Amino acid sequence: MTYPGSGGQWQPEQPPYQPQQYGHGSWPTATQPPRRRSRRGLVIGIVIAIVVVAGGTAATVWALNRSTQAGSATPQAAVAKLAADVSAGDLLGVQSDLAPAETAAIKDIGADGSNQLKRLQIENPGYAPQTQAANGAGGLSASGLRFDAANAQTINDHLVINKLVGGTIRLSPKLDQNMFTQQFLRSAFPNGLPKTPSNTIDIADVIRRTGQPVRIATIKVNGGWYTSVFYTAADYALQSARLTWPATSLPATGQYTADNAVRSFAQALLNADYQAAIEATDPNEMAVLHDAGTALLNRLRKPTPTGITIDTITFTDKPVAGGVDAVLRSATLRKGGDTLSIQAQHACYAIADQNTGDQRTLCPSDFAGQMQSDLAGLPPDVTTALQHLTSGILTSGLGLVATETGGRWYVSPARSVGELLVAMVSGLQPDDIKALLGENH
Amino acid sequence: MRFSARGGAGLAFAGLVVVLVGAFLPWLRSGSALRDSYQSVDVLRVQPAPPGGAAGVLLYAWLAVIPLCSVSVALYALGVRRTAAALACLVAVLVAVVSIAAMLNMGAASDPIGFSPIGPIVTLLGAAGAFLGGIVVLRRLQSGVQR
Repeated sequence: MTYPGSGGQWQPEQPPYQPQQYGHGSWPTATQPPRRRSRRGLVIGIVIAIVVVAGGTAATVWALNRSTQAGSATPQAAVAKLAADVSAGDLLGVQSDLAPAETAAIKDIGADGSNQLKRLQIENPGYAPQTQAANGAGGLSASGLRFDAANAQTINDHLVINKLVGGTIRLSPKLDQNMFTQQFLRSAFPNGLPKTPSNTIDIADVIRRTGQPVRIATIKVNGGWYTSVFYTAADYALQSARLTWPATSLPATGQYTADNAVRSFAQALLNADYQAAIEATDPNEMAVLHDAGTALLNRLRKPTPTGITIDTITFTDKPVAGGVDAVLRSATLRKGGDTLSIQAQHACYAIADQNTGDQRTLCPSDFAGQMQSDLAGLPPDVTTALQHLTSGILTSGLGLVATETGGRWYVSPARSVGELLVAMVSGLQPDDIKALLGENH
Repeated sequence: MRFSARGGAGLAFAGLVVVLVGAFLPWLRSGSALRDSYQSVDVLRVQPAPPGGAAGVLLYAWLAVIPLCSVSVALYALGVRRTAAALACLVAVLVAVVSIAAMLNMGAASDPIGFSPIGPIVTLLGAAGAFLGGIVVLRRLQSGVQR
């Protein structure tokens, strides 16, 4: 091994100094000045060390700065990257092309759902959620995707609608046998796995049919541009309602605690004050609601407030992925002279009218009784499964998920719906799946 | 074949260089797109279930591979040979564990996402060289043999 010193020769056998000897009492002393050659070698060694460490640091910084999670420089670059990633079938790339808050919400909800599927012995215990997401969208590919950059529609400084004008997208999803347990596959597909058809979408056909290019929204988050599923959906919703994006966004009104955020959101709904309700939602995750809010509110007819006031309300806070699920523990509601109290009791809610003294309890068994009569024709094990499905909500408790952004708490409608679905499924047992699939009949 | 301390240092140096080359070869495959180890770490840490426990620690420790390699070489250039050799061995063990884990979780070629073999294999070969070289340097210095 050589390194170029001033003499051009690597001299490891003649090191600038020999620290391995220092431990044996041979440190140089004032009366034993180091030899000139050693000093030169020391300087060379120091220079090499500095160069190597500086090079290593620069290489590390360069390697880390190539992050694919940082967004693109322009909306056009964002959609071009999306097109390239879809064309390459690069699902991890597509995932990083989407707005981070949306991706996080979808992932967290997906992870919760995956855990429930594993508990129900539908999904294999070792199956990773990222693989599941990949296989769910597996077979995605595209060719020749073209965007009309000149006609991109700039809505505001953080929202641009891009126009996809050409190319084809091919979807050939496959059922991943690794994802599901053999027991589930046998029950669900007794005649063997079905062949999933592939589907090719020609953008030119879509444009001929709809009369306009495919609109894909890109948004700016922390200086980078991302494709947004939520904004794209909202853009199409506004288009179909013949509305345009409002010039101003609704502000975000956060609270200092998750419980207060849920309380103010609930009170806003009771007051039919939908603007306040939108303002109480997470400005990152639900930025689309804040941006499109004014147009949506103008479309609504004047809503009638319920007249109900939340006097007191308490929650049991359950940490969930990305936030806190504030589950109702007790509440006192007032309307005019009437006062209603609600109290969580195990898996039930006790409801009392404090004026009349009337009391009733809402329990999973109430659902069971109701369903017993409604679903009289169904096999008993199917009825039991459906009862479990509905009773899961009460057993888990009624709640809304709050998320923290910038030190304030907001309600997350998407996560709340996801948590509600998970709560429903949480009531199911593995045998219920067999019953619902008709294995026992 | 008996290596001298200098030969061991050369082997360790070459091994560390191969480790660094391997780190920038394909490690992760998604569709037809390939990612090197740093891009893979970037992607894996934002997954819905990012690796936890020891795997999570290794994921973040990977970011220290280049600095540790360069510090090892720098220490050797300064004459701090035992520490340099020990550090080379440490880096070798770290990258070997990650490479083997990646190879064991390669997945089927038909999977939409999976590990790519080339990066882990080259890195593992480099790790073997760096480890052996580091051990030779330590042994020779211990026995007082310089050449």
